[in-house]
Amino acid sequence: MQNGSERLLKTLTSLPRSKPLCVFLPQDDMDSTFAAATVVYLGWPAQFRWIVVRPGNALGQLRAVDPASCAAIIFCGMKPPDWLQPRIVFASKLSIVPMRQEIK
Amino acid sequence: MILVGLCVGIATFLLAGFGVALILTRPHQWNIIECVCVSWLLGTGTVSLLLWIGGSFLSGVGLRISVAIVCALLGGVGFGMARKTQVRFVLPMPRNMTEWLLVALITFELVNMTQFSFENALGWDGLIVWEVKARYAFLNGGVIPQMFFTSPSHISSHPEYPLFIPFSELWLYLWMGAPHQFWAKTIFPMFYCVGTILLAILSARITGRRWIGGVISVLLFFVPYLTSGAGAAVVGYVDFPLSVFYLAAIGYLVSFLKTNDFAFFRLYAATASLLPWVKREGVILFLVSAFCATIVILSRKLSWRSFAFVIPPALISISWQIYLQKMHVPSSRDFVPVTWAAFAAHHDRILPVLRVTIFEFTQFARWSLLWWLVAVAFFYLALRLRDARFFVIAVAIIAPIAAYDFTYLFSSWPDFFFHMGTSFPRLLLQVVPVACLAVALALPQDLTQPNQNS
Repeated sequence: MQNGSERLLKTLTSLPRSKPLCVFLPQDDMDSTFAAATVVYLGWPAQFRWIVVRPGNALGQLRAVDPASCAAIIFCGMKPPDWLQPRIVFASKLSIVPMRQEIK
Repeated sequence: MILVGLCVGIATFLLAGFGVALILTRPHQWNIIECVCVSWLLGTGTVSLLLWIGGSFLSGVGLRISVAIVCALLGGVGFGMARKTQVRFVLPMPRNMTEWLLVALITFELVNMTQFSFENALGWDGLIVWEVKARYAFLNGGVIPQMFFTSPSHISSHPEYPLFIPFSELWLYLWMGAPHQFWAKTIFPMFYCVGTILLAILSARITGRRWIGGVISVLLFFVPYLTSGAGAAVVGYVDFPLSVFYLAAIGYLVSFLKTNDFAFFRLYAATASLLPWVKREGVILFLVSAFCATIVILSRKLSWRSFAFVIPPALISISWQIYLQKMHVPSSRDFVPVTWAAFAAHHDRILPVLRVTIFEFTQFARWSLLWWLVAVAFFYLALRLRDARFFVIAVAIIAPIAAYDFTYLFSSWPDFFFHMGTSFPRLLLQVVPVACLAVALALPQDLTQPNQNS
């Protein structure tokens, strides 16, 4: 990721601070956990909610998120569903979706 | 300006450490290189403690200036004491071709490790557990914001861990004027250099042979885990710095046994005091070293005042726990409380834990021949050198490993094998330099020969 930290910082600081950011990451995946922890590191002082996705239950856990309760969803180690737009893609498995819509 | 700030930060560590070392030990004669190594250890400990304590009352420029003034005062008092007590600083030079060759090899290795360190980014713990605190404190005027300690977002940063490394990094950030991770990494090759040089000096002192110290230090570089493991000395983990403090503590205790020079006992006390401040496991290492020191005090019939060495680490540990309570830090979730019921529930883990331990010793890719050499050294020393030096080093190696094994009986991770797999090699790393001392002690030496000037 070229200038990854700078681009992430720029995006994270542009998000509203009044709500936490939801981080989706697959269960038992150390690389994704490290990527998520790095996003949390850069996002200070924003608050984050870690949502560890169980195999085969990603969509169910995504639908359970109240869009009004978070400023954005960050996908670490997984791709968001195609219908979830707009998204800011940083790497093949790291993207941020600002919450401006209902989750179908 | 960043490099100037970095140099000033490092110089302040050394100045404060020099002052503390001279005030505490008052040696008659001191190897200059050893003095710099000890000053680094005591200086990083002193500055990080001062930043933590000072941060309760001050922040911003006031905090930086206050800590800098205390460092300058300590250094000034140290220089004054050195002049008053007429300490003789010496720089022993290599005396033959072998010693020159060993010095060249050690220098080559230190340069290489420094280069590795700057080529590697900070690892998981280096960034997420340690540097993160330095960065947030820097952004908040030198004080970690209270929100960090209670934030569920940062639970993986272990806010309950002590602040030795974060606040050493913070000190450099404050002087550089920016949270520059690349330059903060300077402290890790410094610890490697200090550890390697102290291993050489202490091994030479306790064996009476310089070449043994040189050979052992050269071999340390060939432990693969030090250069390439997840907790390697170059990726910002605290386990290697902790191992250097432990080496200094045990090495100086054995040096006291060998020479009867009480300055070495004071150096033991000073370096061991900082163990609980470096990392949580430092409490275990301190307790082990304190047990060894107690045996030494009783066997040498030292004054009961020698037991005062337990006061500073006890104060540090208790103060840290009070601070965590004041900050409402949730307790660690990695282990269940140590109770008889928990032990009874998990006693079936004893054999698997021992199997993993033995398996780990045989991991050539991580440890090369180290633990085989240590086993041979133990066998040889048990037959040949049944004195207090062997007893202290044997306890210092075996007891922490046994204690770490015991803690996994109380792991709350769903898969305690996974817990052990991710952390046990790093815990083992903490005793590696002391294990090298055991190998040094087993190398051929003339035990009747008086000490050489090391």
